[in-house]
Amino acid sequence: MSEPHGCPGVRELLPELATGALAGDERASALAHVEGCAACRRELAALSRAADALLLLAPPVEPPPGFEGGVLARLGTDAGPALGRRRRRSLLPRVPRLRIAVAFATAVAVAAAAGAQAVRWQSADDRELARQYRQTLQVADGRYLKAVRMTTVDGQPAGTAFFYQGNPSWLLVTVDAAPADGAYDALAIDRDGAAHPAGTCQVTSGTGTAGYRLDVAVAAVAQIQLRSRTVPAAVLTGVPR
Amino acid sequence: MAGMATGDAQAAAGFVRRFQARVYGLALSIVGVPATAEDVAQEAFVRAWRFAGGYDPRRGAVVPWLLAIARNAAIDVVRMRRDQPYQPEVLVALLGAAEAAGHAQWAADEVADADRIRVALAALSREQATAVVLAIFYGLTAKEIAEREGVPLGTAKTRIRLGMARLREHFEVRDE
Repeated sequence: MSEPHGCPGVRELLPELATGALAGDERASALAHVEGCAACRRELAALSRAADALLLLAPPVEPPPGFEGGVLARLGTDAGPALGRRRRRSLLPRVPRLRIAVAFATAVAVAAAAGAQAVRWQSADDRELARQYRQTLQVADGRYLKAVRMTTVDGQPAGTAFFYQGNPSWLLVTVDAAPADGAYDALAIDRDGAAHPAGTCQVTSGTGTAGYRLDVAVAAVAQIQLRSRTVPAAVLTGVPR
Repeated sequence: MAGMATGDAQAAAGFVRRFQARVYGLALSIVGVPATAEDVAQEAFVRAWRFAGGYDPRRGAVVPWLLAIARNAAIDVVRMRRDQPYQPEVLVALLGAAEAAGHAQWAADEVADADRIRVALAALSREQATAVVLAIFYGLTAKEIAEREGVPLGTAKTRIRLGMARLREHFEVRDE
C-alpha cells in the first residue's frame, strides 16, 4: 500500500486527474484522498468542468444518413442482426498469449484451469475443487476468481470470461463459439459506463484465448464485451453477478 | 433524459437527432476516420442509453455528460489502434478556430462556456495546449505524453498542471 498523499501533494495531482492523464498508484492514492476531502473534491470538480468544457469546442458535424436508424437498431437488438453461427468447437483453448510477467502468467494458467474445471466439469469433487481454488488464490495473493458466461447477440453461449481480483487484477477470456473469426477488442464497462480496454483476442475457427491485466476493480465491472473489429454484429457480452 | 432512462424508442430517436452532430463531430475530431467516427458515435449513444441512470441532472447539462461518454468511446478506439498517429496540433487549431456555425441550436450557457474555454485555450503555450489535448481528447497518460513529446515525465506533468490551472482560472472567472 502506498502512503496516502496529504492535501498539498494531491493538489499537484488534481489537474492530471481531471484530464484522465493520471495513472497507477498516483491515481488510486489521489482518488482515495479526494473521497474524504471536500476541499480537494471541489477543486477537482472545477478542473473537471474546465476539462469537459474543452470537448464543447469540437466542431459539430452532421453524421451520414442512416445514423439515427443505426443507433436505434443497436439499441433494439443490443448489437444489430445476429450472424449465422459457426460450428461449435470443443478443442481446448490454445496457449494464451499473455503480455505479462512469467510469474503472473503462471498464476493465470493455474487459475484458468481451475476456473475451466468449475465450468465444464461440475460433477468434479467439490471439496477438491475448493482446495484447488484456495490454493490458486494463495499463489498470487488473490481475493477471488469469478467466471462469467459470454453470449452472442442472440443469446447463444460463446465462451467464458474469468475475472481475478488481486494485485494485479486480470481478465482471461476463452472463446469457443464466436460468430466470426478475426481480432476482437475486449472492453470492461464499469458501472459509470466508462469502457476500459482489456486487450485483444484473436479468434480462429471460432476459438481463441486472451489474458490481460485489468485496470479497474472486478467489483466495478458491469459488463464485459468482446467486439469484432471486422464484423460489427459479432459482439460477445457477459455480465458479472 | 427521462425517456432515455425508461427506454422509450421515440424519445431515443429525438435525443439522437438533437445531439448527433455534436457527438459525431467530437468522435470525428478524435478518430479522424468517418466510418470509425460513426461507429464510435453510435456506441456513445448506446452507452448513454444503457447508463442513462448514471446521469445526474444536478451535476449539470446533458451535453457535457454525453460528450464525455463520446470522448471515452473514441479513446477506446484510439487506444486499440496504436498505429494511428495523433495529431494534437491539428486538433488544437480546429478547437481554436471553431465557428459559431452550430451555435444556433445551442443553449446560451453552452455558447458562453465554449467562448470562455476557447479564449482560455488560446492563452496556453503551444506545449501546454498540446499536453492538455493529448490527455483530454486522446486519453494519454503523462508518461505517454512525455514519450511522445520527447520530454522528461516531470516536464509533461508540469505542462498539464500549468495548462489546466490556466484553463480553470479563465473558465471559472465569471462563476465565482
